[in-house]
Amino acid sequence: MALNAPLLRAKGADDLVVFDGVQKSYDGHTLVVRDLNLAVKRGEFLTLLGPSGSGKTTTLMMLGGFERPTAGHILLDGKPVEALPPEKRDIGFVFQNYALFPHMSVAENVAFPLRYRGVRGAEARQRVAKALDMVRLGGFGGRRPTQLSGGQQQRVALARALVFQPKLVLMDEPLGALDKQLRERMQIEIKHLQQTLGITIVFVTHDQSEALTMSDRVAVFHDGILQQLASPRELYDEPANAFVAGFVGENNFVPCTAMRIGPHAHALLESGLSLVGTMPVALPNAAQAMLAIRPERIGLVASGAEGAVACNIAEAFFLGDHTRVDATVPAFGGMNVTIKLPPSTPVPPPGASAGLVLPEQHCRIIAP
Amino acid sequence: MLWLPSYATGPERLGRLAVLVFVALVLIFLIAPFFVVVPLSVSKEAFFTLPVKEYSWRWYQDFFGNERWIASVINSVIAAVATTILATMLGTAAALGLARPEFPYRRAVMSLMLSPMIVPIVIVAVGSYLFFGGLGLINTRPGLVLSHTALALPFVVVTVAATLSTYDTNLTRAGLSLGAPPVAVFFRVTLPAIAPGVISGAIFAFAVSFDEVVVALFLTSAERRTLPVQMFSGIRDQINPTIMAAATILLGLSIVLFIVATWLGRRGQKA
Ligand SMILES: Nc1ncnc2c1ncn2[C@@H]1O[C@H](COP(=O)(O)OP(=O)(O)OP(=O)(O)O)[C@@H](O)[C@H]1O
Ligand SMILES: [Mg+2]
Repeated sequence: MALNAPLLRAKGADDLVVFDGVQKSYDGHTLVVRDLNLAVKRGEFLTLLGPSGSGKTTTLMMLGGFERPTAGHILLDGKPVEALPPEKRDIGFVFQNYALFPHMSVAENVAFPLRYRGVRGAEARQRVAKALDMVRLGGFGGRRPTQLSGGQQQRVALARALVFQPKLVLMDEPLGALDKQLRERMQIEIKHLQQTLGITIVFVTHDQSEALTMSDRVAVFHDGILQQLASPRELYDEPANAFVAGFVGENNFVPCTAMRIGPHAHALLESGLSLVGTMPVALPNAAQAMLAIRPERIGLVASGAEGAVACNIAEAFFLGDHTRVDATVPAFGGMNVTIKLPPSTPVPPPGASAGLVLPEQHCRIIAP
Repeated sequence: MLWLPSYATGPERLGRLAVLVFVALVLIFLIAPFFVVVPLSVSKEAFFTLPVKEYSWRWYQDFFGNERWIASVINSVIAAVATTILATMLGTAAALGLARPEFPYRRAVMSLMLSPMIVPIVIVAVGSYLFFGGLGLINTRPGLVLSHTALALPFVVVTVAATLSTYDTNLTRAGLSLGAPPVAVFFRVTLPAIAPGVISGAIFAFAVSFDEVVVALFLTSAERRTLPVQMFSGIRDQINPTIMAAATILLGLSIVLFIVATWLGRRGQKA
């Protein structure tokens, strides 16, 4: 007992937030979040990624204290937060529409949280100025939020959520309303701020490239279920199932039966073809599965080459940084496969026969 | 919008003309009293004859020189101010509560709250009279104020609810997440944002109480008479143009209140 207690504490010590079997239903029967188990590490940038309606905002609202879990517990700093109202959680929140107080100046907005922490007068002014400088809005303190551009309002919201040095900052699609260029610049700015300040951020987006750019880890949601929690690279290279494989980046999918023969994982196709691949998550033998191959991982060789799968070129498009080829594969039941080739690769004309090279380590056999 | 494009056909033009004439007649009907009351109030004669031959302020002097009239104005102002404060506070709180999706039986409660707008005023008056009788509230200011508050409440609830429908709940959430307790969030974030609706609701509440005659007739004694009641009894006993002066003052006040309420409503929409 005496030995175990410190060990236990050490185990959870770097988890700032723990979702433990959390469920949420608004109407009493449909579950919007189902059995969520998720730990957010201290200092981590964790993104909740998923399509519209997958429960990302709901998860964030429960963490912020604006919605109550129907079942399960949320631990903040190791302590359950059910009894803690939002104003006592010490969590910064950045909303998609910024939620700046329209009747207050920029400086008053940023000073708002300081007042409730007993910081007033000169010190408050100094911290507000510092926070505005940090988001490169020094000198804008006297303006009203409506007199700022979308990107500037976004930065004020950021300054307001950071000025009181919360242990955790939640952001719900904070860049959703910005144009592409500004969004990409803000992604990098937020990431830099997070790293220099060493804060923990839980970020929500439905934009996979945003999630990959910014996050230490990404939690992919679909229909209220956490599909996979992994680093961006792992998510891309080792998707746990077909949903993740299709949602993060592009993929070719071929239905198959999973088979483990000796040390190798095989995908048995309906045509009788058997391809050797990898299984990021072990599947039972003879399970229905999907063979997933990234377009940029497929090679194109001359027809009849050793070990290549025969195909017919349907179309080819030169796109500057790569060439995109669509090919029909008889062994895949006549399905079309998309291939991305380096721009300098010569491509056979439409109608020509060719061979596909499907490297073993890039053939993912995953749950459908 | 009012005028038709040049390609409009003959019947269309005729139809539009008919609509315009009808609208003009309705407007004239609505503001006709204005053109009778205001001139008569500045006529020198003691009889109601139009057109006015000689002008004078004597009826206004009469009005302001008469203790009864002044007392009734004071009574009305006290009742209206108290009603405004009470109805605005209760109505705003009710609208805030009813705006929450988890409020149980929202629609039923809302209908109940709005019922004084539909129930015939005589029924409210008789009901108040019988109910307050048992409580000793007849011929008292609190009795009148309570009854007027019930009448004014729907106006506050409706105007505040309208403003709240455009209010961004994330503002409240932002306030809470920044560490402000709920009461502080209400006064520093929500109230400033919905202020136009609250103020125009308050103006309606004031107008409802200040104009109300039926309930006031039932619930007030001679010394607590409000201005409309005083006018009403004035018409019954000794009819003279002082009434016209009183009516003009009431009318002027209503117009000012209406303009302020409309202006605030516009400002609320823009924000
Ligand atoms: N207040 C609410 N009352 C009832 N149902 C709700 C409420 N909020 C969300 N939902 C439902 O819960 C589900 C998940 O919603 P949520 O807002 O969490 O999704 P999301 O992943 O944030 O989607 P988006 O990307 O569109 O913002 C949806 O089906 C939605 O209709
Ligand atoms: Mg959302």
